[in-house]
Amino acid sequence: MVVRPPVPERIKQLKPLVLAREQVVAVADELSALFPAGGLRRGSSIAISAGPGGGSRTLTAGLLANATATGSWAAVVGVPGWNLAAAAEQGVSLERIAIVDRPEPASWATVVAALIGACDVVVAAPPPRVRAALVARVQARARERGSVLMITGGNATASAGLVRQADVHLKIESRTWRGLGVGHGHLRAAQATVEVTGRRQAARPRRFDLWLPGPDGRVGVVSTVADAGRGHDTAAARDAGPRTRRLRSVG
Amino acid sequence: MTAVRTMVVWCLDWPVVAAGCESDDVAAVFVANRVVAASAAARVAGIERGLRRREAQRRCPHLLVFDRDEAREVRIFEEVVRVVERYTPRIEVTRPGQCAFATRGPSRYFGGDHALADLLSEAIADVLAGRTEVRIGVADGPFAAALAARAAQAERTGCAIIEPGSVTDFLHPLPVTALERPELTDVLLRLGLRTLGAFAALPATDVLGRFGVEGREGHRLANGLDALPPDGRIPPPDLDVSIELDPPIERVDQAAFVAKTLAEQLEQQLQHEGVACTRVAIEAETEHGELLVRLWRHEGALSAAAVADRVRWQLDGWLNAAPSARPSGGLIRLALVPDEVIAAAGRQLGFWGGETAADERAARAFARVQGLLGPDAVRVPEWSGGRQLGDEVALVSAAAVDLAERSLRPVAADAGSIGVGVEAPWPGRLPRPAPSLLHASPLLVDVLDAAGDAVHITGRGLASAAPRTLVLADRRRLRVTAWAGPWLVEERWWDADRSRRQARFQIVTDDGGARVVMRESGQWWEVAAYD
Repeated sequence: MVVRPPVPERIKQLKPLVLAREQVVAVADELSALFPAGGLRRGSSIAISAGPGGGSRTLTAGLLANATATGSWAAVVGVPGWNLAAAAEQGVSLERIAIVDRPEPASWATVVAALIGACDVVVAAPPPRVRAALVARVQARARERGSVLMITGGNATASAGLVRQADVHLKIESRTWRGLGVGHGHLRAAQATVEVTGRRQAARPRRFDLWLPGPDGRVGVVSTVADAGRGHDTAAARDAGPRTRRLRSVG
Repeated sequence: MTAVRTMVVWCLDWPVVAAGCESDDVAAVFVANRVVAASAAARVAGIERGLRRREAQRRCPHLLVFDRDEAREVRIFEEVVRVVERYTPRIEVTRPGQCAFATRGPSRYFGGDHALADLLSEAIADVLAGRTEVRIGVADGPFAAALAARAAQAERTGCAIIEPGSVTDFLHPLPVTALERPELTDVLLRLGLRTLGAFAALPATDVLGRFGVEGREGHRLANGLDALPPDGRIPPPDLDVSIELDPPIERVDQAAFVAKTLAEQLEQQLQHEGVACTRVAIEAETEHGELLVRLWRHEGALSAAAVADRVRWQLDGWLNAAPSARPSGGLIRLALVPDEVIAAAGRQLGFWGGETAADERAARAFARVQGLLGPDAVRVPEWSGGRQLGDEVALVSAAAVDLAERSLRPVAADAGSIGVGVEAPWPGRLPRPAPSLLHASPLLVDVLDAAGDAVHITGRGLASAAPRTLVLADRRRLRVTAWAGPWLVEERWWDADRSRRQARFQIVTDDGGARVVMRESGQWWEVAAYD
């Protein structure tokens, strides 16, 4: 059998081997279950929307935590009023995050495109009336340069069109706070139900119970009944009767 | 080849002078909680360089404490440099407080080293008007001349002049710490070489082999020669970069922005040629033809950020000078001329930590966005500390920060020292978790009780009634399901203009949203929300 050396044209077609692991920007282990790729796939776009209970900034920070801690840069464009002290509590490394003021609607796409490719994750809030074609162009550039585009509109629910265009859509449905009573206590943690839908692999909707944030300040997955009983309950929940609590070591 | 005969003019304790103190004020300037400069009276009281702030305040309870402001130091040093400029054209500013120039020509013109030194001391003393003293050292080479100025200070004379050719005898008994290269001197001390003379006596090739390039430079200095090898290159003329400014620039921050791009352009050109510059001349020209040229030297090579800093300081000093010395028009031309270059040793990018390619790419993208939206459009966080929401992390413009070099772990307070800034406990701070959404300006809301009246804080610091309804800025009404407070905060009660009295509440409403509302000055404000 004669093995012919590959013809030069074929060589150009052979792409270099890239580990599947490197195609994904890592998130915390607990949160990897949310994504079909096990993390934020490079080049994909992720839309985060929330109901009136909010939670989009917290969830975004939770997803950025691992990425910024391991050397990826994150840029936040046009998301007003983000308290970075809260982001730091959720694990974001403040050494690798930059905030960009809201640009004019006309230059929004240019600014985001300039940041894509240099920053591994770009969080952008599109201007109120943005054309779907413009968002598609920005997504295409992200796909080409291998950056993750996170679209969040803050507290407002994202328009249906933008949501349809994203590869993964994280929708925070409800959020209950723990720790605050009637006239006493203080907010300690919140649980929320997040529905994950999207395109292709993520098309089947799945629901997760997340800590947003949890008692340790970070975003995580509510694991078992034991977690559900942690923290002081609100007055309404306390009326539901005694609940067995598992002992856990605190030292 | 012997070194160029140099005169060094050294103004004592310049950071303290720039902070506005006289020599008999007990004052010290701190950087990162350590003393970098102390006035003469403070030195008598026992404040030395390197002392921690708490220790310094223990030794001297009424010590005046200042932070270092390099721009201010350069601006005030401009007056002294202008005086020296009357006697010689080419002055090199080593750092604020010390400048050097080649003295063969001027000495011959004014009748000898002593005569020139006397003239200069008198002229500078006039300008300084007693704020501090000046010491002058003359020797072969800037290194020896600077040490001569220190020797003048030690011997309490105004100037010390080392005769030409006797510089090695002068350097012989001085300690190796005078080289100001802490790693090298550390090794030398442990090897038992305590004086420059002992170090200089070693063979040059052995020093190069054992200590590398840095050791060879130190060895040449200890021998009274210039640190640069004799084949120091003269840069080809097309390495200058300049930019024409149209319309003319009048403000320092605009000029600083332009300077940063210019400095990066220069660095790229130099890298292309494989050299790095150690001395740069910064030229600024106004529309009426006034020209300011300053030579800046730096130990080691000047990075783009360092050059941009120096341009900013120089222009700050010039544009904000006394009306007689200020330029009469805006700047129309800015030029950077590398004056002395050395072969670039290159930089090894770190494997982890330190500067990486990702940081460089991010910095370039941010610069581009800043070009599109303005210099303050991209900001990065810095820990600052505070009890008001939003004080804990401050945002500074990315242009002002070296993205690769900063390390943002909040500086850990030394055990036993009063915590300052970030690590301080800040009583009155909201408990964790912090709210994610901070309104840039608080929104006016209303909190009503069951009867529909506004809730207020009684004189005893309690809520007048339980809050039942939250009325938002857009008139929506939400039912309050859980609340806690009031948490009273009173800041700066002693300052009538800046005092604040607030009562903070956390409120959860029936739509699941949690907010921080505050009662201040008889009004309810929504300060933050837990998004």
